[in-house]
Amino acid sequence: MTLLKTLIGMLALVMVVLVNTIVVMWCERKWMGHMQSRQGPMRTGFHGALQPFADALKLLGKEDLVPAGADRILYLIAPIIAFTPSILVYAATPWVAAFTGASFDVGIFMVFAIAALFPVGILVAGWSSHNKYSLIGGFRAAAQQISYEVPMILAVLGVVMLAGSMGLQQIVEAQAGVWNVITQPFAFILFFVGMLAELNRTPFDMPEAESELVAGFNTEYSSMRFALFFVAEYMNVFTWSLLTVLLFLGGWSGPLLPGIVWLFLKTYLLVFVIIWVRATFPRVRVDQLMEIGWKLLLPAALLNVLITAVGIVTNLVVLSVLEFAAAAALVWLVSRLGKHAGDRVREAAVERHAPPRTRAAEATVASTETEGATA
Amino acid sequence: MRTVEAAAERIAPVFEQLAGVADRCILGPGEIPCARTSPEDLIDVIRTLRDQRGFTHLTLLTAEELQPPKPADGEQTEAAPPASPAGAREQLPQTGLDMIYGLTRAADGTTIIVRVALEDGSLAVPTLSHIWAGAEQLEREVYDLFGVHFDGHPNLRRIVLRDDFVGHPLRKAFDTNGGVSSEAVVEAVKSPGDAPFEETRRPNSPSEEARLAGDPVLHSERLVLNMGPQHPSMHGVLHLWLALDGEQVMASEPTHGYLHRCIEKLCESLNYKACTALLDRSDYVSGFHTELAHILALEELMGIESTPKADYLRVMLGELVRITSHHTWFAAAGLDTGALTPFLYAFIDREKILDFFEAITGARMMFNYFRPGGVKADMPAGLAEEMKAYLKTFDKQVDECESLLTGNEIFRARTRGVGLLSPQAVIDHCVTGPMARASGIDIDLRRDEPYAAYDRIPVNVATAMVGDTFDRYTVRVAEMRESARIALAALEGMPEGPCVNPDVPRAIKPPPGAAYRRVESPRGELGVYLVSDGSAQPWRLKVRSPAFSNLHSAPTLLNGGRIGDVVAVLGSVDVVMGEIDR
Repeated sequence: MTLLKTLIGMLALVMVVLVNTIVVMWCERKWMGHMQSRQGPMRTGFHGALQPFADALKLLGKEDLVPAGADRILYLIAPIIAFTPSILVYAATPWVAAFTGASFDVGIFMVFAIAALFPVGILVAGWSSHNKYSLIGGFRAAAQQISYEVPMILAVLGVVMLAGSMGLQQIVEAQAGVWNVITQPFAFILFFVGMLAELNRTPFDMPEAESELVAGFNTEYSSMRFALFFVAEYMNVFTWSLLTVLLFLGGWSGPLLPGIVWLFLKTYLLVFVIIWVRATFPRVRVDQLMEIGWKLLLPAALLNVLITAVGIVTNLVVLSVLEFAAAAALVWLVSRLGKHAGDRVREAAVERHAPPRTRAAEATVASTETEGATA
Repeated sequence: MRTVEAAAERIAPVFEQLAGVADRCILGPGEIPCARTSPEDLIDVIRTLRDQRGFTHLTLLTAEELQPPKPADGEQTEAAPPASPAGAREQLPQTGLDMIYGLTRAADGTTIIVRVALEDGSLAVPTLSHIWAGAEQLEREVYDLFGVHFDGHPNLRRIVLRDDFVGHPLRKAFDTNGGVSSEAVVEAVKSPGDAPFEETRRPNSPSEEARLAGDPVLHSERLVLNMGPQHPSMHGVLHLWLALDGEQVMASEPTHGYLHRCIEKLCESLNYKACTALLDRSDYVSGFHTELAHILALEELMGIESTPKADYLRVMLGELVRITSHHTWFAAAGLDTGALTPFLYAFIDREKILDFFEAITGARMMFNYFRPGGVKADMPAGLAEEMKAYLKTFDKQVDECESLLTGNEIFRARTRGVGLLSPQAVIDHCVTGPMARASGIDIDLRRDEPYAAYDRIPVNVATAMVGDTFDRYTVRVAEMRESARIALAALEGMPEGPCVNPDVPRAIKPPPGAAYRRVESPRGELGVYLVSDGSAQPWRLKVRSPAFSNLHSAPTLLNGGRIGDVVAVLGSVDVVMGEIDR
C-alpha cells in the first residue's frame, strides 16, 4: 500500500513538472515573440497552446541518428544523463507545507549535488558526438558550470546562515517574517546570475551559442534524444525558478490566495525575467564569462557571507542596508566595466596608429608634390 | 569641362615622371588616364606611383583579353567611331592579355589605370602582393579566371572555382559547353591518395607554419575548424578555415566560391540592359549600387548623360538601399553577438523601405531599375510625400534599434578593442567603405568622386579613430542616419522633368573602348570596369567588389581572438557572399 502510494506520488510529481515544462516552453515562445513585435506560434490550438506538443510529435517522427565515428554508447546515454538529474532534483523540493519531497536535513545541498550532474550529460554528449562544435560546446559547459556553481553555493550560504538549516522547508519557514530577497538582495543577484549560467541561458549560453557553435553540444542530436536535452533545459528553467522562490522569495507564503498559487505566481515571474533577459542581452565571450565567474562573483559571494555574518550578530536592518549597498556597488561596478570595456586597447591603438589621414592633410601633401613636379 | 582640364593638369606631371617606363594610352572616351607598360617595368611604375605620387590605394586588379582585329568592312566598322579610342586600340598588340591595374590617389580622387601587355604564351607578370597584401587574393582571382601566372606570388591557388577545375573560364577560348564532364570530376575527387581538405591547404608563411605546429612544451595540437559554408553566422556560404588553440584563433583564412555564378562571364553573352538585371544578383543586399556602377560606365562609353531627375532618383534609391543594407548588417551584428531582438527590430524597419522599392521599381530586392540615360519609370504619384514623412521620423527608429546594443555593457565588452584594423592595414588590404572610415581613413566616393546628383547634395562622412568592431558599428549607425538625411534632401530637391534621356538610342551598342566607374556601396568602393567591342554585349565586365577585399583583411582581425570574436568581427566586416563570389 505504501509502495503504491509512493508510486502514485512520484507519477503525480513527474506529471506536474512535465506540464510546467511545457508551459515554460510555450511562455518563452509567446513572450519572446511579443517582446520582438511578433506573435509567436498562433496556429496550433488557442494562441499556439499546443505548439510544444506539435514539436514533440515532430521530433518523435524524426530519425534517431548516430554519427559515424561517434562513441556509440556514450552518445546514446548522454541525453539520459542530462535529463535524469533535472527531475531527480524534485526528490528534495517542497511545493507547499503539506506537499513536499523527502524532507532532507541537507535539502539545498542535495539539490546542488544532483544538479551538478547535468553538465556531465552535456560533456559526455559533446565528447561522444565526434564533432568539433559539440566538443567545444561540451568543454565550455563543463568549465562554465564548475565556475558558476561555486559562487552560487556561496551565495546560498547566506540564506542557510539566516535560516540555520539546509532543509528547504526550514528555509521557507524562516522567511515567514521577511523574505530573504529583502535581507539578502546581494546574494539574490549573485544567485540569479549564477543561475543563468547554470541554465545555459543568455547571456551565458556558451555551450550552445548558435551563432558560434551551430548548436554546441547537441549539434549532432536528433529526434527524441534532442528532445530530451531540450526538455531538460526548460525543466531546469522551471526548477531553478522554483528554487529561487523557495530560497529568496518566501516560497509559498503570501496573503489571501492559497500557498500553491503564490508559489506558481512567483515562479512564473522569475521565468518571465529569465525570458526577458534572453530577449534583451547579447552573449558574453567565453573568457569574459570566466572572468565574471572567478574574479567578480566569487569574491562577491565571499563578501556576502561576511556581510551576513555581520548582520546576524547585529540585526536584520543593518544586514539589509549593507546588502543593498553591496548590491548597488556590484551593479555599478559591472556597468562601469561594461561601458569602458576595451578602453585601454582602444587608447593604445589610437596612439599606435599614425595620426588620422584627413582629406585636407593629404590634399596639401599631394598639391605640394604636384607643384614641385610641375616646377 | 573645366574639371576635365584640371584633371589633365593634375595627371600631367605623373606621366612626365613615368616617361621611359610607361607610355600614355587612351582607355576610352572617359577621362581616366591610362599608362601602358611592360611586365618588366611594372614594379617600377607601381612603386613610383605609390611611393612618390601618392597613389596609395589599389582599386582595380584584373585582366582583359584583347579583341581580335576587326574585319575591314561590315557593320562593326560602321559602328566604330572615328575618335581616338579606336586609334589607340589599333596600336595595341592584337592577341593576348592585358593586366589592368587601377590606382587611386585619395587626396584628389584621381584614378590612373596601368595596363600591362602580356607576351602571348607566357602570361607571366610580377606579383604585387608584397606591395599590397590585398593584391594577393585579387591576383588569385585573375589566375583562377584567366590563367595569368604571378611571379613570386606566395599562394597562387584557385579562389572562386574548385581546386580541380580545368581551364580558365574568362578566356574567350574557354569552351563553355564542353569543359569537364561530371564523371571526370567525381573520379578526380574520389582518386586515392587525395588528402583531406584541411591538409591540402598550405600555410601562408613560415611564421604561420610555426604557429600551426602546436606547442612543443605542452605537446598540444591545433584544432582545425572549418567554419562554414553551412553555418548559421557565415553570412550565406562563407567558409572560414580556423586553426584553434582551445578557444583562441591562431590562424585563419576565408575560403569562398560557393556562390560563384559566373556573373562576369555571363555578362559577356548578354546585352547591356540584361547585364543590369544580372548585376542586381551580384550584391543582392544593395542591388542599386552595382546597377548604378554599370550604368555609369555604360553612359560614359556611350557619351550620354542622364536627366537631372534621374540623378536625384538614383541618389535617393542608393541611399535608401544603403539603409536597408545596414539594417541587414545591424540584424546580423546583433545575432552574431547572441542578441536575438535587434534582428527583428531592424527587419521591421527594413520592410517599410522595401515597400517603397516595390512601389517605385516593382521589386523588393532585384530592382532592374536603372537604365542608360535615366531610370525605368517615374515614382508613383503621392509616394514622395509618404516617403518624406517616413524619413523624417527615421532617426527615432535608429534610436530604438540603438537602444538595444550601443549602450549595452555586454555588447560593448564584446566589441570594444576587438578586431583592430590599423590605417596601414586598410591601405595594405585595399579595404574601403565603412571599414576604412572606422579606422580613420577618410574616403567616401560620394564626396570624393561625386556621381549622379552627389555634386548637388552635400554628404557628411562619418569616421572613427580606433578601427575596432565597435567603431565599425558606430560608423555604420551614423551612416544610416546620414543616408536618411541625404535621401530626404534628394526627395525635396528633386527637379521636375523626364526620367530618361530621350536621346538614348534604342539599340545599346557603345563604341569600342573601356570605362571604369565607381560608386560608394554600403560595403565600400564598388567599381565596374566595362570594355566594349562595339557590339551589343560587353567584351569584358569586371565588378570591383569591396566586400572581397574587406573579407580578405579578416585574418588580420581574427588571429589572436577567440571563437566568439570570429563571428562578432566578421559581422562587422559586413560581407555579402553574392558580391564576393559573383
